[in-house]
Amino acid sequence: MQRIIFPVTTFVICFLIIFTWTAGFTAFTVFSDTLYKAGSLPREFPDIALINQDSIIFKLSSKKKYKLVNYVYLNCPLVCHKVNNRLEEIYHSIDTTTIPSKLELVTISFDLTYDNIQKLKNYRARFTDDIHGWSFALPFKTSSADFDRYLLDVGIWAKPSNLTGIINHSVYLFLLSPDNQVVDVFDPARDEDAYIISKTLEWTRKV
Amino acid sequence: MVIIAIVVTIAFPLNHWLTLTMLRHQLIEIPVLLFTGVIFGKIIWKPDAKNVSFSVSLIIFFMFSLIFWMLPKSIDLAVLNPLFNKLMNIHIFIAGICAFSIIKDSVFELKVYFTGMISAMLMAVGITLRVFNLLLCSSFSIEQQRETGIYLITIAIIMFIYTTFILMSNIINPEKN
Repeated sequence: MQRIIFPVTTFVICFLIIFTWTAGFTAFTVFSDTLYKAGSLPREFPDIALINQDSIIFKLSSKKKYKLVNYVYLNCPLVCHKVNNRLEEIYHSIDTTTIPSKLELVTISFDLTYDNIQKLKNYRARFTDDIHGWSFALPFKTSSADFDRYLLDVGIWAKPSNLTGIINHSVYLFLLSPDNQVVDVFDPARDEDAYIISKTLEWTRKV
Repeated sequence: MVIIAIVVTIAFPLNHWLTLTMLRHQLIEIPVLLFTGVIFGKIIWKPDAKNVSFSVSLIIFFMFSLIFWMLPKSIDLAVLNPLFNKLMNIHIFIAGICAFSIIKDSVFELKVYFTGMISAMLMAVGITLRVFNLLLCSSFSIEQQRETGIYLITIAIIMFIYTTFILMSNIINPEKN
């Protein structure tokens, strides 16, 4: 009996450390860990003033419908554009009785240094004309420190890389209910468009 | 003295350079600390009778150390947080000392199991890094991730061949071990 106590105790301690560290084997990366630390669903979505491509100031909580929110930066070499291209397909896969009356897409830039309203407007113009239910926005009068805090509260990790200056970040899509609760989070790296659409429509039908 | 100098050099003046790319972090910083730990273990460790229970515990601790510091979250925090990085340096160094004891004092079957497990683990991590088309460590790029994956797979194959070799030599000549 004594011979197995020491190895078993060591195993249990090591197992518990890894289990706790990865939040029960669910958060292996800083991206998933930040999302985990933001809280379980449903939860209140942090609200800040935003300014869209037409210089209209708004808050997500003021839109009393479902919102599919993602975070990007315009100088992103690849992933942001890939996700936005998929969002465009998702947008056009959902019928016009849902978008924009029950659901709106909001893409928020987290690059406070290089992105501005004009760039957002130009970027949005690259997509098809009929995307009235999709806004591109920047935080309005929010300090860099406050915005960093906000991103962590949302569950988004965004840090510039040491060597390249590329901002490595989470690509989660947040589905917000009309009362500004995060009701679902999608990971475009894993979730297929069909799944994102079906889950989103499932929620919007509840309105 | 040389060992302490290497560890201090890795933990302080070279630390920033080592954390700039994934390859340096995973294939220079961690292995050098492990090997200095092994050599330090050789100097300080008093050979003991082959105690299977103790060896198994050390193997578990060593595997835990490798798994923990290969988790993308741990890698990122070790790069971003200097204190966490120092904790990694100390932990890996201690794991190296444990590795020496495992190599020195374990029964032959445990030694084979030990190298086989490391090889399998490195292979799994290497394949994950090489194949995954999404960024796992925020501090590095996907190209660095893939490059590190290839090197880890190579090391795993070398370790697997070594494990097979010592296993075969034991089968051919059992008295040797």
